[in-house]
Amino acid sequence: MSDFIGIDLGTSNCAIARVGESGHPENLPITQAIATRGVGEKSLLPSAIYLPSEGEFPEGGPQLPWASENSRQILGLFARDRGALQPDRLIVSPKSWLCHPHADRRGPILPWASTTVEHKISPLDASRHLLAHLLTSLRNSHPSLTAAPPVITVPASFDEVARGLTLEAAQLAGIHEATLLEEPQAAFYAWLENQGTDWRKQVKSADILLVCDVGGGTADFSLIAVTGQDGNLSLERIAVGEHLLLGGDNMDLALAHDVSEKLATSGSTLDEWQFLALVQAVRAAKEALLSDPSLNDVPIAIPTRSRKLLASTIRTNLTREQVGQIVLDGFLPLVAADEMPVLRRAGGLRESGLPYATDAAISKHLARFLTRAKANVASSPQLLATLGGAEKNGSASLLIPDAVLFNGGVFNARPLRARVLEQLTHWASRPVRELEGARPDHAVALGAAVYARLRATGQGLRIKSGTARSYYIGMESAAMAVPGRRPVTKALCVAPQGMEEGTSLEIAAQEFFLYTGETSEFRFFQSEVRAGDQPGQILPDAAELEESAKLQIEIPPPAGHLPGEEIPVHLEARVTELGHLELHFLHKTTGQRWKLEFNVRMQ
Amino acid sequence: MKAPLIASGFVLLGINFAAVYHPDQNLTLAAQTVSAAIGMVCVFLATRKQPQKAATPAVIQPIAPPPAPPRPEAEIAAFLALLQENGRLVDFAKEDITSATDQQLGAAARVVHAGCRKVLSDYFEISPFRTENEGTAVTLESGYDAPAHRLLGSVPANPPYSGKLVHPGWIARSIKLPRVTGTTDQRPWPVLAPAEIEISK
Repeated sequence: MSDFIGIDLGTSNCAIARVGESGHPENLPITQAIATRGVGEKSLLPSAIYLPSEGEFPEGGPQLPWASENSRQILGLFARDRGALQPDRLIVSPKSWLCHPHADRRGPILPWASTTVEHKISPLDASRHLLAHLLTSLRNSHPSLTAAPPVITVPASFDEVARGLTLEAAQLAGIHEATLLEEPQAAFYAWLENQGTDWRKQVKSADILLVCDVGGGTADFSLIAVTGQDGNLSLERIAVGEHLLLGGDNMDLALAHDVSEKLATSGSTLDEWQFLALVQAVRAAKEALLSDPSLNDVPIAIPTRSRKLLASTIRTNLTREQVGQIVLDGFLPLVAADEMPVLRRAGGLRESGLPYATDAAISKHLARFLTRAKANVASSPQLLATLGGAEKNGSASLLIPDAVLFNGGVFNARPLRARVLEQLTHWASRPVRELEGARPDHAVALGAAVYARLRATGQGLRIKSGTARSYYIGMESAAMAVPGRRPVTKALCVAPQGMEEGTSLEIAAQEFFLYTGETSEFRFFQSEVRAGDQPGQILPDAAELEESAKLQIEIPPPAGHLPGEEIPVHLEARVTELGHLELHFLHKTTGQRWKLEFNVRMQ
Repeated sequence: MKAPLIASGFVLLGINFAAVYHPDQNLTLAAQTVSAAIGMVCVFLATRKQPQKAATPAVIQPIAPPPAPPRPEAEIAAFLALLQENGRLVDFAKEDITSATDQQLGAAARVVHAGCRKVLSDYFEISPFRTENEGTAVTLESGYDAPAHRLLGSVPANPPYSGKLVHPGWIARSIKLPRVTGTTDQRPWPVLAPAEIEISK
């Protein structure tokens, strides 16, 4: 029997899980560099890549069992720790760069803004290195492993371009035929597996479930609808959130700044190395305060890097009040249903780099997500019917879930879970419950392994999902030229939301004209909130959509046609078995076919 | 050579872990933490495994040849370096604490304690050897696990031995220390903590 492998390619940490002969998913240890000259196994691989300087390790540094001469970068725990002291040589959150629409994701841009690294690497390569490391570690520790094609998780908020790049990185890393799965769905599969047949006791038909996933660096939301009759329930993912760079690390940083300011007023200023130590100490103190309600404060000692521990160590403490004010009221304030996050900074200029969330209030982002989910459902009669019609969904501006599955390290803390439930209950004016039995730390990799088995064997309950967004291609409008006015770009819906893997759709009723033999520009758009759009539908103005990619290519004319000719084509959208969206132009008379992938970069 | 080392290591560990939880005695706490860590070094020295040979599965190419076994000192140095890196153990033990205040010692001990505790929980699975509470009356029958018990006071010639448990002992159910690699270092003095230089901007 072959094994089933799930890979959690996380923003802050990666993990790998397997469903083996026992039938139960288990996390597998990952071999990695731990110290300057030490190698060992850890259940998580920090998603950190350190690029050492020439001659930094004349003795070779930590040598992995499979190390080769030309692999100079260091990944994992040691990379993260070493890189904290030399941030210019450290790549963190490489995954978030994959979905950064304005970054050159194939260009050597990382570490971002580094002035000392000579040979930078691309976001695509960064993900490739992480995946290759996971695969090699797995093969090295399980040489006789035979596994079905693995499942790799991505944030539900990843658009088609980022998904395509993830698959490409996997391919380059030697992971062939990998399938992608959205992280909140993976967490849900892990929960289903863990509950066995008992899950039906916690969920009933017509429920709407929120998967609330807040990791170290990102927050990711999805809604899953429960339909069908009791005893024969089915699940459908009906909404995904936007990519949100906001998570547990922000909380630790905010607490550390607060403690540091308190120290400054009493005359102790911390240097940047002490601040690093403070962030670590504050994280441990926060976890202690959140898990033990009897504690009122936790002492903190911050050493300098000097050897004189006694003379220079600074004493302070973290209080329950600080955690309450900063973590609970700062990140999860109770807000009204119409309080939306501030999306842009007040200043006109933003420093380049990752687009971190400006508003720290996760509850406001949740309000925005549920508002957009409501709009999405309202746009589609079919989806509305799935959810039991308009009357059930009421007139509230938010699509309120009935229950919540929590995922991500921050939700180990009961007070944070309680606050999210309190917020939802407040919006809903009826109790919103928690799905019991979640494992916030390791669920994503475990769920991915469970899904790998489900795909291979066909056994188990599948969440109906399909594409999370609807996709459009920009089209020049056929309008009379007006001097001084550029024609409006229309948007043609080529793939509706919810299009499933392994399916294709031809827009048979319409014919379009394709310029050949000269460079033309293709623009791609997407939307999370237009579930009702049908393939072939034309939106009068693409400006209301989100532009995801732009491609300039020259399409060679088919045989018998001259360059510069416009040729009539039909459009066909395909979602491959691996969940990758492709767009085909068909020239009926010659049978010629051109493929455009959504995996193209924004210029 | 191994058995006495294990024993002395665990004794140090044992004695010290028993003493660690008296938060009002900062001085004791700090000093005990240090010798607890030295105990850990002894346990490690005695129980360390031979370096594993890298498995060479056919599926992965290329695989570097397994490195030459490191000198035992390199492993001990690497472990001590871990305690220094995480818990500043060498800094602390090498400081003169005679004139330090208990408050200073307390603050420093928190740093040492947090770091050494992290090393313990990351790389060892440690649990008490006996599950009874201290002070419980226990009887050791003939054939008892002699290396894991130490009898105090006047001991009769033969078991059964009856007495009071004064310390439950500690055992390491697993030890998963980092494997030392890259042993081309020929210098006679291993680096426990590198000198640190902050580059001027």
